[in-house]
Amino acid sequence: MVTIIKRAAVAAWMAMAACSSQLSADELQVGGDFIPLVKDKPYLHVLHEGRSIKVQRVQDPDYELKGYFAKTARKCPPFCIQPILPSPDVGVIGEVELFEFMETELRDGTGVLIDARTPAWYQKGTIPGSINMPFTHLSKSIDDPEIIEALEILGARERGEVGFFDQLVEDWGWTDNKYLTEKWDFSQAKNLVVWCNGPACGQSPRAIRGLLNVGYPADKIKYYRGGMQMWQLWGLTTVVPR
Amino acid sequence: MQQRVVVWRLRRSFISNGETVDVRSAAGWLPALLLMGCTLAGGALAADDYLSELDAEAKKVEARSIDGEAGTSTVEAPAEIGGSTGGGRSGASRERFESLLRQKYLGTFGFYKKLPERSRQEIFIDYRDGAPMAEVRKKIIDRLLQR
Repeated sequence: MVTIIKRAAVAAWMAMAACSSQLSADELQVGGDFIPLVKDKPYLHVLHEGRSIKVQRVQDPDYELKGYFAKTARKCPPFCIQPILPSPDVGVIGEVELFEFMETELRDGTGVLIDARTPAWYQKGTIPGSINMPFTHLSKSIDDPEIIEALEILGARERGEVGFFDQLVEDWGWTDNKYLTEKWDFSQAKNLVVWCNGPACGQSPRAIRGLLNVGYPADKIKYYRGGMQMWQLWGLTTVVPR
Repeated sequence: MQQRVVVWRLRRSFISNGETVDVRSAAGWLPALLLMGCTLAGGALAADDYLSELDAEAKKVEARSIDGEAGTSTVEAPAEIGGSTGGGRSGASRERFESLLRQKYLGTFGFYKKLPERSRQEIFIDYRDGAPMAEVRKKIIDRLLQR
């Protein structure tokens, strides 16, 4: 009986050891000096232009950021430090939340990472997994073909004519009309993370306000305020579009 | 958005008045119409100025690809700031001019597309003959506002 218990205990211990080694396989592979994205997450992968890109931090501890995004001051206006909220109902996220978004919603297609800068900026390098939707497009009026195209890409659907009784039922709140506007159905619209050059860039705040103006739900938009400046400051992977 | 509200309220007050508008009373609307035009133009120019500033700033940025695994940062030198506009652009085609507008001055390109063909041709000729881009863009806006 004692022998059986001992054998069971040994087997359980071995199973636990195997599991823990599996869970920390990445740490074992990368080594103790590896600088992870966050604790227990050394890197992640995203798809960008059909390629799998490994997003990680620069491992050289002597690496210093130089160049444009290392500057501390730019002309203001127009490059003034932005408020933390582009709009009261839109949430703000940091790098940790962005990593989470990249591994979940971006990966399963329910989320879109938007580089809201003009193409001239986008071509200089972007955060992997981002698509370029300039704020100039996203600030257009509801009838503009460019915004219509953008909304359709983002999963919104034009409603067409709404019948009289359907409209009544919606107005009375008898149906779930949280994501319905007069012209658009945003119930299947994707969750967005919108970013630009950083805390002193107004491009993504303008894009966010433009989206809100055409009815995009605020709870489906997040603002990555750190933008390219903070992304590069952390030595995180960037890609130059082809 | 505020500009559109101003336009709507002016229009409604005009219609609800119900009076026959003769030349003397119409003259009273001129300052309001001029103010509206200036406000709209000012807004358009302000947006265009912001795009110009963004574009000028983008020229200072090096193209950077950070490869964390290699611990390297691949940098391409930024484009030269400024540029010579003297001597004309005899090799410029209208397609290239319009492509340049669309890529670098999206707001101005939108205005340019609203112009009649004759105006567009004249503007392109100015550009081909070496007019600075700032002057070309000002001409586009002036033409749009019938100035």
